[in-house]
Amino acid sequence: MGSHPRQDKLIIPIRYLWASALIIAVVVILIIRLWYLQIYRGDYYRGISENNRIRKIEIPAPRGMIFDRHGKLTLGNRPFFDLVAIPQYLNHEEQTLAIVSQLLHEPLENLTRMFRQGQWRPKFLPTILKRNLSLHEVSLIESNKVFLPGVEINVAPRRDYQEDTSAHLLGYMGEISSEALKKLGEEHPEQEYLPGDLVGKQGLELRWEHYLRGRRGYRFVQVDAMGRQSTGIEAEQWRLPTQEASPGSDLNLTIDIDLQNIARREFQGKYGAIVAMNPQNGEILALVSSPDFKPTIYQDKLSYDKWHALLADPYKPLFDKTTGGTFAPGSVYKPIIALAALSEGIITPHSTHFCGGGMSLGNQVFHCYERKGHGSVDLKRALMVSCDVFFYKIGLELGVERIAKYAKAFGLGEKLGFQLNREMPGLIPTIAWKKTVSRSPWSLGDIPNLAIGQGENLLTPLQIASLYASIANGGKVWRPFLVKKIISHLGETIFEQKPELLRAITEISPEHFQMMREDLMAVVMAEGGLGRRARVEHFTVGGKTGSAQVVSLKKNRNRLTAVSMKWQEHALFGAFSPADAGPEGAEIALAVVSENDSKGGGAVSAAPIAQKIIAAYWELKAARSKGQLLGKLPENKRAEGKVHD
Amino acid sequence: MTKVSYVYVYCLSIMMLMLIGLGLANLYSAGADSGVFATQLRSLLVGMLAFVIFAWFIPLRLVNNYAYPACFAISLSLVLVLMLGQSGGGAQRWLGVGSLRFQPSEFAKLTVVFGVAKFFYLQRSLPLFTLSHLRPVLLFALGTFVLIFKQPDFGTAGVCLLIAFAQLAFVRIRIGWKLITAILVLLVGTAVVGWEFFLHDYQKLRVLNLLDPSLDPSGSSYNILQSLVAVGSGKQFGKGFLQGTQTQLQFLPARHTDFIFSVFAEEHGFWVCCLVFVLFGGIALIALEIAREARDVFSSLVAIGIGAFLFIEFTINAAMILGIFPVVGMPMPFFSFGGTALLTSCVALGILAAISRESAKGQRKRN
Repeated sequence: MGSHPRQDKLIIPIRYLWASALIIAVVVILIIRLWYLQIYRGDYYRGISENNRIRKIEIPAPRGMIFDRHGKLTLGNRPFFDLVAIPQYLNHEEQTLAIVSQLLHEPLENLTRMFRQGQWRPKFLPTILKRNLSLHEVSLIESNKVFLPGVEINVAPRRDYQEDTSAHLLGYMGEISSEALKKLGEEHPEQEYLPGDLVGKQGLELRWEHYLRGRRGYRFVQVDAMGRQSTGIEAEQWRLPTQEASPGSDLNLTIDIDLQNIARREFQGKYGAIVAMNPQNGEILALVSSPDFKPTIYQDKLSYDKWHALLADPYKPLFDKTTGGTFAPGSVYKPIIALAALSEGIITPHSTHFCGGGMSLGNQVFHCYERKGHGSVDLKRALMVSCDVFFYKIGLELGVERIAKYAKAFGLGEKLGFQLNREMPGLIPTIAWKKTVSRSPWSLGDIPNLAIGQGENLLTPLQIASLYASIANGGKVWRPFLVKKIISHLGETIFEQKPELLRAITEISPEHFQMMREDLMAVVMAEGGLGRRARVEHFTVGGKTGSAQVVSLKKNRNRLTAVSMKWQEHALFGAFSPADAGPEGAEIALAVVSENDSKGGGAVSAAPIAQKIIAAYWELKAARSKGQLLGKLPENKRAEGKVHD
Repeated sequence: MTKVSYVYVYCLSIMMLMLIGLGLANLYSAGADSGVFATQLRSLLVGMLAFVIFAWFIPLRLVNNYAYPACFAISLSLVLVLMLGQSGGGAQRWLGVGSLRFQPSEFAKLTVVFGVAKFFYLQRSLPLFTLSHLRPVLLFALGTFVLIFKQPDFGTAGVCLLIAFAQLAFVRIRIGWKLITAILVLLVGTAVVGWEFFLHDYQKLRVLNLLDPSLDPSGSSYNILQSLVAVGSGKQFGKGFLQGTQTQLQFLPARHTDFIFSVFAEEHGFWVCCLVFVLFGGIALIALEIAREARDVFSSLVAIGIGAFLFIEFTINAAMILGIFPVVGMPMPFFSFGGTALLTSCVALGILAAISRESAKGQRKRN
């Protein structure tokens, strides 16, 4: 049994002996330590373990608050009361839950289901039985506490929703799903997501969940068999750990909440979306989707009936139309066609086409919406009266690909990277796209429809606002954004969004943009322009009306609404102001989309709403510069308004 | 004669089966209500299969030939984990292929063993090693350490480094002042630099916490306290299977992983714990014997490395739950929950058995 001669050279044999001795020594030391703990001090530790009733008390972290661009509180928190059970002390589970059920008139199976959810957690941790108790319920529980060992009331800060909360923008809170629990737990283990936690489910609450959430804290206390606090362990110089809760970080938005609320109010009763943005940097000023819903119902235990009612609502109140709704842009699209034709040299500002109320192409006749015809029109006139024939003709000369080229120059047909509520890319049809969706190529007869923004074209309200912002600022496409700054609870800025230029449009010359701004200003400001209902006092407005036909019934599968309603046109308006201040002067760009609003298309239905919002914008601005609104600002140290006091 | 030579293989198999049996039962107690037990049972089947395959069907020559490629592959996957981890934003230790997920850092312990052994096997004709000869192997060990440390997984990274040092300790190296200073500088430097720049606050606290348990208010002394109470309250014969109050009331932190042995000590008491300690010590001693009788340098060093791997992990974990070592993330072989760790331990023992088998075969031929 000798060792192999070859290895002796390299390996020192005596080391085997040393190593064996080391191993035996280590095992002996470990056994001595084990003996010390289990035998010498065994009784002592057995004593502690038998009285080991440590209660871990959760300190909830308030969620970060949300402020608007002027530091006005948009969404804050207030205390809510939750009913909790601590399994370790709940001796007669069924009996206790039955009493609670009777006291609160809450079905027993709901309570049991909630209780079971927390079963795998340590037995001394409280499990939520029912959220958001009323004060009456709180007093009922408190007065019967003798019969309810292990049942307690916890106070937690939660979202304080106001009447005018914009649900799609801010989003809502809901109980964490098991998939989200797994995903968030892996991504942010330090934030300790637990079943039953409320997390952001839509809008800003979802998008910025990581920052808004904060981290819950803990306090450990030792209690005796009766549940009273005791000090067995502290006496042995073991200090029980505490961990402070750290509140979530606050969002500072680009939204002007006053403008937002005015927009909401003016849009009341209509279905659709409004997007207002700053054309100079992409800051979103207002974002309204209608109809909306009350975010409060989620924070409470949402009943299945309510949930299904919301899901079944034909107007889809849960759906954010500003980023996810895609609409045929109609005449709002015409500036792109015009700019394309100017840039390609197909028309000059002075070239005219004759509109006799229609245009025949092959055996088809394409009508102008004005059957009487507009006569001989140049570009400015064609935009003012929204002459379809003029655009049929230049659209035919441009062809599908060149139209698409210019639409895509504006960043249309793809997502703008807004990252809120499932942004849709919309659709700018091209030859390649047509090949992938149908076997037949474009026929000549498809093009006139494309040229007036009908057909397969699809834009979101956000994209329409971005389009008019780009016209207003002379060809810059900014990434729209909502959150300017995120400030931690320590007052540090932990995130700052700088404006991000997605692309600068080089395909179109600055002169043509200037001309387009003048023409669109004429649509609103000149006599005979269709957009005259968008005029505001003291300031110029440029804009374009649009009325999109809802062509196919197939897209509106929802039988719940009257078919006649669904056939009605969408009214659109894209605008910017001021229109005469050059590319650097424009301050607001706006898209209004009113669905199935037939009272006369964009000129009658959408333009007046745009008028009110633009007027409100200027009024708010004037009021702020005079300091009139400062008195209305709530107490908030970070408010910019405070500086002037 | 043959019978005598195979004795270590049988010993190892029996000891492994005992540890696995105790570990599995204990895991059942620690996590009866979660899916932990079933998952571990599945990993165990794979592990046993791997043990048999490595012990009886894979010739050592193959392990020798593929030692460097294995090192390369694992290093590559460690880099990959690090890159994916950075994009994921948190600690990342997993790598997934389809529905299978594994922790490359666990396999890295084995590849360190192979890498160092192979290095000396290729250089076996050298009469004496100096520091400059050792440079590649030191770089390899340090590189592995840094890659795992960055995950961050201080425990596993440290084990990799310690395994390499244990193997080096057996090699005839010229002990010059240069080498001793180099190692000292390396150790102190790593400690200082690590403390200053790399250790997270929670890791620092764990070290300080050992010096003064009342120092840390934020959690790790609570963990040690609960572990000590669990172990101590087990007394001579334990509270009985599934009867550990510390465990069942879930006072113990990380019951399935780092503190699994506290569960065992609470429920089974002093004597059964001693048995487990002796089993681990026995495996390490057998590994040394196998190394001594091995056919070549590669086999010897692999056996030493494997013995060091299992014994170091056991020692650090046991010392940790007994409150004489800082809390580092360190699994107890065969006890802690974790499929990759179990597989690695089984493969390690399988290779150990294979080394013993082959040297016995060699002896038979000579006789």
